[in-house]
Amino acid sequence: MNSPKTTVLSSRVLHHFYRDSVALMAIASATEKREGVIRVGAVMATPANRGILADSDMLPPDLNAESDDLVFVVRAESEDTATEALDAAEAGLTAVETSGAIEDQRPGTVDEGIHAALAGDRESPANLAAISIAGTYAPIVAERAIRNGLHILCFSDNVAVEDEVRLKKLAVAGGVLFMGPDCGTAIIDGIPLGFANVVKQGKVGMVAASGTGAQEVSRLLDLAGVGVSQLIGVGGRDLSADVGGIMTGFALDLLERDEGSEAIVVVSKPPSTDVATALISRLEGIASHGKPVVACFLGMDDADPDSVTPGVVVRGTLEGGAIATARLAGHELAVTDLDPIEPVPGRVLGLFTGGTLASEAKIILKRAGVDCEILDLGDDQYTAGRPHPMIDPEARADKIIEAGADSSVGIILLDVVLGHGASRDPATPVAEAVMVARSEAESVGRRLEFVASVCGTAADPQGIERQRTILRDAGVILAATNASAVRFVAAQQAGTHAS
Amino acid sequence: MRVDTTLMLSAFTSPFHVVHVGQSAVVLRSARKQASGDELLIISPERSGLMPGGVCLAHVDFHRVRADILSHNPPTGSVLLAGWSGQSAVWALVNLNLAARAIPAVSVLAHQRAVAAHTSSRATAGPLSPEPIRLKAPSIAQSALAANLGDEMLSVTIGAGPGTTPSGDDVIVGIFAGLHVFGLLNEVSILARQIVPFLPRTTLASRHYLKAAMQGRFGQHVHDLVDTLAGDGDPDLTVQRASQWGATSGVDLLVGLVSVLAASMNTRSVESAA
Repeated sequence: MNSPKTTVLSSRVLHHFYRDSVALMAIASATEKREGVIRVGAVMATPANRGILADSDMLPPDLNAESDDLVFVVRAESEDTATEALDAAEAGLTAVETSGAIEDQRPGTVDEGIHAALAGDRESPANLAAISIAGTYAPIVAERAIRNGLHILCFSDNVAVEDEVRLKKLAVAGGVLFMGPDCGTAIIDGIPLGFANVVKQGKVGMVAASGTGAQEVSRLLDLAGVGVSQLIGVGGRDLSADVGGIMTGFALDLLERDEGSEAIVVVSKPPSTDVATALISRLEGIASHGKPVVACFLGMDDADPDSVTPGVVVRGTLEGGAIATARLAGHELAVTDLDPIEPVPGRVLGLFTGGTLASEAKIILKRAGVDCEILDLGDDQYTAGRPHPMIDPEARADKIIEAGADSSVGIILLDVVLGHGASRDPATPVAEAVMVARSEAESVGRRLEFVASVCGTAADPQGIERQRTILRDAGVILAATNASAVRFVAAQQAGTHAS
Repeated sequence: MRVDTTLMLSAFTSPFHVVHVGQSAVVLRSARKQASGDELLIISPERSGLMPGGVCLAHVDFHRVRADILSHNPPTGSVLLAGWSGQSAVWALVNLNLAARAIPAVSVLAHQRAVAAHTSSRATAGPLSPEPIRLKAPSIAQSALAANLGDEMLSVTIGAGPGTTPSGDDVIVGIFAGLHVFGLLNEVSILARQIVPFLPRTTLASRHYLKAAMQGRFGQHVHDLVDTLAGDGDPDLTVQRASQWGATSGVDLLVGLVSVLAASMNTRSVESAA
């Protein structure tokens, strides 16, 4: 369709001009919204694109441009409008050249930010604030957000326990979640927050006081074909005696009412005894109303509904929790353990990036009576002044190489955590370090084995199969789950002592 | 620091002209006298992944190199890479060849539906839209498999559409990826021969990726897409991830990839039935 005769067509050719296409499209789109501008074209001046411009009545008759030139065409109501639009577009593209980004109008204060978020989209205003600032200041920001009706994901750690209790009570009174502090993992209405694997949406509601514990259980459920309705993180201290499970209780209230959650699993590192007792009682109440529940409390003895805890399945490992939950959802999760290898002399060293995965390893090895050293490299003592090892895997790579020179070490246990927020390629630094460490050990006639599991899904950005291949190619022995990897190591050690 | 295995060591000691300094890549063109005009070096950060003929740097290193190129060399100037490449101690050579894989038919069909839903929900017209090319993708893929992709179709596909790698080219790269995944090397060879005369009709960067695709080499984001297809990943998430690659390139490429995989399966099932 031809444009009205009153319009004018102007163009500008930018020779040998390459820009990020996202920036180019954004500027073209912004230009098209200018008053008096009817249509915009911003394409490389290839012969095919000239044809497309001609078909759209947007080809300047005297266009002098080659395939590597960018042509910016504006059809506008007047010559002046077209020229101004082209000037603005060119200025925007030049700004991208030097800064790489278009300046946003950013709020200057927390209150401005909260109000901007609430007012930004009237049909669907913001309802959650993610807080990742120094722990000293996090409570101030969190309180303002809670008072404005926002749910909170508090990634910050080093928040005083008194502040945590106060903020959680305030949140419960206001009917919003306070996920944290030090909460690294949540999936709310299908939206991953912090470190989270890309798992199917489904009908299992999760409450988790542990980050990588939640990731391991959710990704194993995904492997079994079971999806997650909500994954509510509550912070690692929520089930401590000091906090008393305030947010776990509130999250359970929400999931009990949630029609999209047909079964519930609670995941935690070993909880305070009193809190665990009260919580099991609460879970029994939920189960008695027809919504099956699994309590995955690391280190507790397994128990089934027909024995100690009517209505609640208790499991003491993440793998056990995932298997039991999958079964409640009508799916089987089969974990095949690895065949044993020739016994390896030397002690077991665990170099973990996931705190809960490290805890699970400690518990299983302790039960098996294996002498071991398990390090959680995400702990504060290792992360002062540097990123968490799930974000920057290089720190652990250094530890692996160090272990290569430690003649007392025979087996090194590892985790590799994938998903949103994690390193784009955590396996490669591990694989490189493994090869260096093994070479160092073999140079003095020592055998060194590496055993790992990958906490990830097929849909994770890193691609679980690619990551597993990188590790396997470096000679790392791969187990299906963290617990399976640890059992393999425990069996090896038993073999070593027997031999 | 990860490096495409096909990149020659001399790349790091030879002068380059700066073609483009972006947030997701720095594109350099060899200034060696004996170099062909199309010899590109793509420097990318980790989040973008390694590209054919490229170097992938840690986020921090990428931005240091990018800032260095911006501050010391105007975009039209030349740059020597020896200075910064020498600072990186760990190199990993990465083979970007796409190997033949088994892709479940159910995964292909689910992804085909997800791509169709994504593109139809965003359908627009005009010179900024990739939709006309995407709609032609199944027909292009079918013709590529039948080795009868005519000059008329190629003339309106190569170099067509928005972006510095125009949508039509991205679709063709996706088709090459699909042919390699299914091990259809005869079809690759025929399609490559048909496309070569049309390469001057597109941009420098696009020529680079098309040539690599003819040889079976693809950026890591393409490998990731194939992994997801092979692993029966969630199709909506695949499309979502593809849509984060450039303004339109990721989805354009996925459209080409899925179109040729679907067309190939249809063709083979007909042959089997016969």
